[in-house]
Amino acid sequence: MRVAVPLSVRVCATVLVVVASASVVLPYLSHWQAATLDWDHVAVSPSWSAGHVFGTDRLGRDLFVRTLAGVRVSLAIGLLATLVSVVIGVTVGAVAGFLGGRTDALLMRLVDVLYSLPYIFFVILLTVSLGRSPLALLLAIAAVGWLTMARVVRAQTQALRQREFVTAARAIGVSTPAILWRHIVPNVAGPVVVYATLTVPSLILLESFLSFLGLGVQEPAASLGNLMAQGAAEMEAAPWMLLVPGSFLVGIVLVIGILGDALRDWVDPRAR
Amino acid sequence: MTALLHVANLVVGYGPPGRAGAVVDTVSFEINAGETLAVVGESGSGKSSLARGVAQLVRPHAGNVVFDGAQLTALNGSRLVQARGGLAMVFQDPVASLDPRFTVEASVAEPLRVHAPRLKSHERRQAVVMMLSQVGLGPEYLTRYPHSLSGGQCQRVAIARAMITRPKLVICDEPTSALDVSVQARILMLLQQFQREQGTAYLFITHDLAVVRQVAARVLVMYQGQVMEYGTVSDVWDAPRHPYTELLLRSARSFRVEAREAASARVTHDGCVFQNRCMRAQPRCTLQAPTLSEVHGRASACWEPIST
Amino acid sequence: MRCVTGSTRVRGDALLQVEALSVALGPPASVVHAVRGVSFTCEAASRLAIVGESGAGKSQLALAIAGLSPTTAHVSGRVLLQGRDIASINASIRREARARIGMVFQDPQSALTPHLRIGTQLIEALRVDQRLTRSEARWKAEQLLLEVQIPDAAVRMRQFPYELSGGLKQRVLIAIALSRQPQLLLLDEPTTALDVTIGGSLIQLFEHLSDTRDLALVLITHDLKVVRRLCTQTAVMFAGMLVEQGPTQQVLDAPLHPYTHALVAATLSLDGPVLAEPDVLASDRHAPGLGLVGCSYRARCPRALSVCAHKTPAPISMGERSVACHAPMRVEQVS
Repeated sequence: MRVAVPLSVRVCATVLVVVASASVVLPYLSHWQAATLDWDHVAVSPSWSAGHVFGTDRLGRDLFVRTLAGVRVSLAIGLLATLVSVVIGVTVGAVAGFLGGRTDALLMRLVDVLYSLPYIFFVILLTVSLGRSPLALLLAIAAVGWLTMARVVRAQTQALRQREFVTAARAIGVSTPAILWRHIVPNVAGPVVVYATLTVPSLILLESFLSFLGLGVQEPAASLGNLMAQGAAEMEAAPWMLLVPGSFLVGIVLVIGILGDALRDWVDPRAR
Repeated sequence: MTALLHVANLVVGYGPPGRAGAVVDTVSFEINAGETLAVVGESGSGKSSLARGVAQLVRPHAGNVVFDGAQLTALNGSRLVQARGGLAMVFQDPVASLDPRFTVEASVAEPLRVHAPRLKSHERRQAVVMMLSQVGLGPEYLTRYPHSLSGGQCQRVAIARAMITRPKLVICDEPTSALDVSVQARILMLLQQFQREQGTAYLFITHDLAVVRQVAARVLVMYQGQVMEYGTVSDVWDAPRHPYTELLLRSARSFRVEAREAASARVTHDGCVFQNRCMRAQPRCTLQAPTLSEVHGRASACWEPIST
Repeated sequence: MRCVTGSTRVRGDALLQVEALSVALGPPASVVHAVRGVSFTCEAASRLAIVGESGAGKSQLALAIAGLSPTTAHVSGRVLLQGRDIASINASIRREARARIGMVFQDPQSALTPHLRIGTQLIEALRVDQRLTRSEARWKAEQLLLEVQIPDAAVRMRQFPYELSGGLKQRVLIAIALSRQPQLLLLDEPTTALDVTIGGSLIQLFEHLSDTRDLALVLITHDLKVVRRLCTQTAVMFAGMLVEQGPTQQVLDAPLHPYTHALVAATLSLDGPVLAEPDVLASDRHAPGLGLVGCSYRARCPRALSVCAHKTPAPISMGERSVACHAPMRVEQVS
C-alpha cells in the first residue's frame, strides 16, 4: 500500500531543509555577526557593494545575518514547542480516550479550562514569573499547542478502543500501558504527524506575535517577530527592515503549511 | 472429575447492575478438558456477551467463572493476566482482530511477550515459525501485514496467536461466520486438529447449526439471554425438547416456519422469554419463567417440552 | 432435501437473456474484471440461483443487469429483457428497465433512508411512474405491505426504519421492489444478514410472491440450502466467470465443474455426514489479480491442465446443463 512520495511533499521538504541549513551555515560566510554594529553603514538599504546583502538596521547591524538568526530561532522554537505539544497532547489524549470515565472527564475539564484562559494574560504571567527567557516563551507556546492535539488524539483513541484488535490484546492479557504504547499510539500516528506539521506554522506565528509585542525573544537576540517589530517602526524610511524578515516568515509558514496539506493527502488514503 | 470451566449464574449487562436489561441472564454451564461446548443463538441471544463475560473482557454483574481452579471474577491485575495464560480467544472478523500495523510475527508473538517475558527474541521467533507451520503458513508470512492476507489466512494467524501459549480453553466467537464456505471447513478442521493433538477445550459461539454439528459434542441453546436447552448435540439435534430449538432446526432444515415473527422488543415481564413466539404457549408460560432441570446431562427450560 | 421444480408452469419465452456480459472496474492501470463474459437465460416465472463466494462478481452482475453499475464501470455485452437490450448506454432505456426488474439489496439497514418514514419511501416508489393521488398511493402502499406479510400495515407506514427489525426492513424493501409491478425480482443475498428463523419466513414469502404474481426470481446467494429449497435452476460463478449452470438438483448433486464440486463438498450439512478430511477442499490462497486469459480457477483446481492457463474455457452445452471447463468431471455420465 506504499504510495510514492508525492512531488509536493518532496519540494516543500527540500525547501525547508535548504532554508534551515542556510540559516545555520550561511552566517559563517559573512564576516558580520548578529550583534556587530557597523557604524559606517547605518540604515543602509540592501546593497552588495556595501557588504550588506539585506541592508542594515537602525543600529548598523547586518540584516542578512540577523534575519537568518531570526529564522533559526523561530524554526527552533516552533519545532521544539510542537514536539512538546505532541508528547503532552498524545499522552493526555490517549489516556483520556482509552480509560474513559472519571479520568477522561477530569482531563478534558482541564483542557477546557486551559482553552478558556485569556491567552495573553497567561503569557504575561509566565514571563513575569519566569523572566523573559526562551524557556518561558517555549512553555507559553507549548501550553497552547497541546490542547487541540489532545482532543484529536482522544477522539481517535475512542474510535480505536472499539476495534477488535484492541479487544484481542486485552483478551491476551496485555497491560493497559502496553496497549496504549504498542497498539493505540502507532495507529493514531498518522493523524498526529499531519496535525503536528500543521501546528508548527501556527506556533511560529505565535512566537512571532509574542516577540512582536515584546513578550518573547528580547533584544539583542533576533527573532523574526522582534525584527518585524523594529521594521514596522521604520516602515516608511527603511522598508527593507520589515520586508526582509516578513517575507521569510511568510515563506516559511507557507511552505510548512503546504507540506502539512500534502502529508495529510498522502497519509489519509492509506489509513482508510 | 472437576470441570475445566465452571460458570455459575452469570449475569452480564451493559449498564447499571441488575437483572433488568441483562444481556446474559443467569447462565450456568460446565466444560471439561478437551471437549467442545457450542453456544447457539440468534441475534440478541447474548451469546457473544457470554463469551466476553467468561473471558472477563466485560466484568459480569453477578455470577462465578471458575477456570482451572481460579475464580476469574475475583481476580485482578497481574493474577488475572496469569490466569489468562491458559485461556485464549478467537474472534469473528479475522482481519479486524489483528493490529493493522503489526506484522504476522508481531501479532503471533504478542502472547509470548505477556506470558513468557523471559524469552529472547530469537526464541520467540522460533516459536512463532513453528506455530505458523502448524496452521499451514510458511515462514515467508512472518513479515506480511493483515491487509495483504485473505480472510482465511488472517484467521489462521489469529488461531496461531491463540494457540501459542498452549491454552487449555479457547473461546471462539463465531470464528468462521465471516469466511467463505470453502475456507470455513478448513478452519474448523484446523481447530479440531489442535483439539486432538493438544487436548484444547473450546467454548464455541455460533449461529450456524451445521457448524455445531461439525465441531461440538455438547450444545447450549440461548434465547434473549437465557438458556433454553442443553445436552449432547446428537440428542438435541435429533430430538429437541424446547420449542425454540425445534423452531431453529426446522428453519435451518426446510425453511418451513410457522412461528410469528418476533417483535423487536425484549420480553421484560414475567414468564418465559419465548412466550411471544411460541406455538405451544400456555397461560402458565406468561406467569412464571420455567426453570432448567437437568436429567442425565440434558435440560430444557419449558413448561410444555416436546416429548420424544 | 426436497427440490422444488417449476415444471408445473408453462414455459414462456425467455424473459431475460444475458449475453457475454462483462464488467470492468477501476482505473486502466489496475483494472479488475469483476464479471467476465457471463451468459445465461431466465424464463418467465422461473427461479434461478446465482451461487458463488465473496469476490465471485455476483453483486456486480446483478447491478449490471439492473442497470445500476457504478458510473466508472465499463459494461459490455447485452442484457435482453423480452428482446430489448437494456444494457445500452441510453440512460432512459436503463431507467425504464428498472421498472420491470425489481431489485432487493443485501443489507436492509443501509438500503432504507433513515430519516424518512416507511410510508413516505414506499409512496415515493409508487409514484415514480404511476399517476396516483396521495390517498390512492397510500392505499396501494398498505396493500403492498400486506402482500409482503407485514401485519398492522397502517401503523408500520408511519414508522421509521430504526423502529423495524431486520426481517421487517427486508420485507419493506421487497414491497418497494414490487411497487412498479416488475416481471423479474433480483435478490442479492436477501437472507444473509438475517437470523435463520427470520430468513426462513422470507424464503416462504418469495415462493408465495413468485406463485401469485407470476414473478421470475433471480436469487444471488452463497447458501446452498436456500438454493435447493427455492430455485429450479442454478448458475455457479467463480472470479467473474460462470463456470456451470443447469437444473439445481443436477448441479448440486452431480457437479461437473471442479469448483462446484469443492463448494458442495465443503458445505456443512445439518443432517448429513460430518466432514472428516479436506479431500478436495479449495485452498484459501489470496487470489491474485487475474488477467483475461485462461480459467480463473486454475490456481486452486486439482484437475488443472496446461491448457487452462492460456485458453479461457468456453461453455460446453450438455443437454440442459452447461459447464465451462477443460477437464469437467463426470463427462462420461452425460451423453
